[in-house]
Amino acid sequence: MTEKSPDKTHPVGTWIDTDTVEKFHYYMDRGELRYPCCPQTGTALGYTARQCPKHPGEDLDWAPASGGATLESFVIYHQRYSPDFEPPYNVAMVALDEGPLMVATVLVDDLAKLVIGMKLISHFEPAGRLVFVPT
Amino acid sequence: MSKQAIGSVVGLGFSEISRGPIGSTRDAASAAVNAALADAGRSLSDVDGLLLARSPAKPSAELPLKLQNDLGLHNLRLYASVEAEGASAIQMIQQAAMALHHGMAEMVVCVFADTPLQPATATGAAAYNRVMPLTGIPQWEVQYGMFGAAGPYALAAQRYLSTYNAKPEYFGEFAISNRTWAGLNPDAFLRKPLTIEEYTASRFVVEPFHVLDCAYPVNGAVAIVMVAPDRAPDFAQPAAFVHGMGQGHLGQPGLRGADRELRTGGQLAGEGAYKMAGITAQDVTMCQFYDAFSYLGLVSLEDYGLVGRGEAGPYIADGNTRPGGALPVNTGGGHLSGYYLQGVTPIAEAIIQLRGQADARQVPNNDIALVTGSGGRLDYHAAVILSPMGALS
Ligand SMILES: [Zn+2]
Repeated sequence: MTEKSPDKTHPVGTWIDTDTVEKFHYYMDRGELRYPCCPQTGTALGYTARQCPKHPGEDLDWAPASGGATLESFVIYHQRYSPDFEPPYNVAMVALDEGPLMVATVLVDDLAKLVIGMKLISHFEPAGRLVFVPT
Repeated sequence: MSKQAIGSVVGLGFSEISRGPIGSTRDAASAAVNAALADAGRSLSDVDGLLLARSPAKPSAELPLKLQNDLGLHNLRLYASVEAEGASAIQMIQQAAMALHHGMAEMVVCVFADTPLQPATATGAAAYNRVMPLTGIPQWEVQYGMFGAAGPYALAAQRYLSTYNAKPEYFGEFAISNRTWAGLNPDAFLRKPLTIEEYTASRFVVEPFHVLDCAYPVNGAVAIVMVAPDRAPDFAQPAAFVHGMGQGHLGQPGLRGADRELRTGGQLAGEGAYKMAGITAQDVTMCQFYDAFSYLGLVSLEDYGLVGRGEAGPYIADGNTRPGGALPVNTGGGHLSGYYLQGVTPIAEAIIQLRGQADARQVPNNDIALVTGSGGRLDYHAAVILSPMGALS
């Protein structure tokens, strides 16, 4: 059993989900990007997973991610939806080298530099937000 | 040997449909139900089944099960609110057809209602700013500003462009195809002819999507009346017979290579619907796709086997889906240029075409209509095969 993370605040709102997600945040709060995997085989699962379908009912393990990733897709927001986000800005779908997909953003000085398939590395901003930068 | 229909649609009704206020969602639903029954030539006392669907952006209280009491319906033998996001409208037809087929109910009314445009949310961006979860960690996307549905769908569209080395203008070609049909439909909201130059010059919402790639929201409700196929001849309106039904929900493994944005559950839904109807994709003479965004037009043509993978763009650009084309698609203008009432827009247009009541936009061959629904971010899919014929040979 992994210990439950202590009470904490996150940059955005209150998280409501299963214990599985609680563990993800426990590591994230310590600046560690981890991904869920099968407790029996170590096979990577997506962040959508709450159990390994081949070993149902067992708690997932959380393996440290290398931080290496690939840009799967990206979009550029021109529409302003929130005062906290000044367009244009990019939202990306990245694939960790281990397989899991996640939404993030890529830090680039020029949005035209974004190309699907480009290699990325993870980076924690001072406030704790996970971002990716081109390698 | 001929294949008999499972269910039939004998009534179609609309509330007021407007960009301005029309009252509550609940009252709009009642208005559409009343109109559909009037169209069918029947009264509320004939109804023993009712199915509701609403926008996933709205709370259940917007269209509660109390609608039964609003309408004054008693002794219902089938009643539920169907929740499959954009696939709900098609699933109402499917559930009604199954209930009718088994004699669980004799007359089922299905209604969708939505009033996204209020004074505080008068634009599409304001009305649809909720966060769609793609990663699997609740609220994760908020920290990256991924608001609304356009961003998540644009991520899929961008990947499509890259995978098939396709031109972004193909999305515009689909918008133009819809707009061309809308020009023939007096009930469509955006009817002015659209050129590819105008499309390209229009503002980006979430690149690669321009504003013209996005559905055109309205306030309104649509209801249909369904009975068993053998009762259809008793009704004044020509029936739209349900021959095939399928669903496809692939699930998101959240892993690289799943490519859920390029090959969606629409394929599974189509396979099921074709098999039940005893047809193949080649037999389809008209499509009414759920097009929340232009990209759905392309991926639907591919998922439902009407063109090969990566071929939808050139197929649309060649004019195949437009008036006079080989495969008419979204003949009322669809959600993009007609009006966006999540999934009932394609259903209503199919019924009008199957009745032969589409006037200037009437397709030459209305034998087999494929009508689809798609919810979530390409997650939940449902399809029906409709025909004016009670039996398919
Ligand atoms: Zn396992």
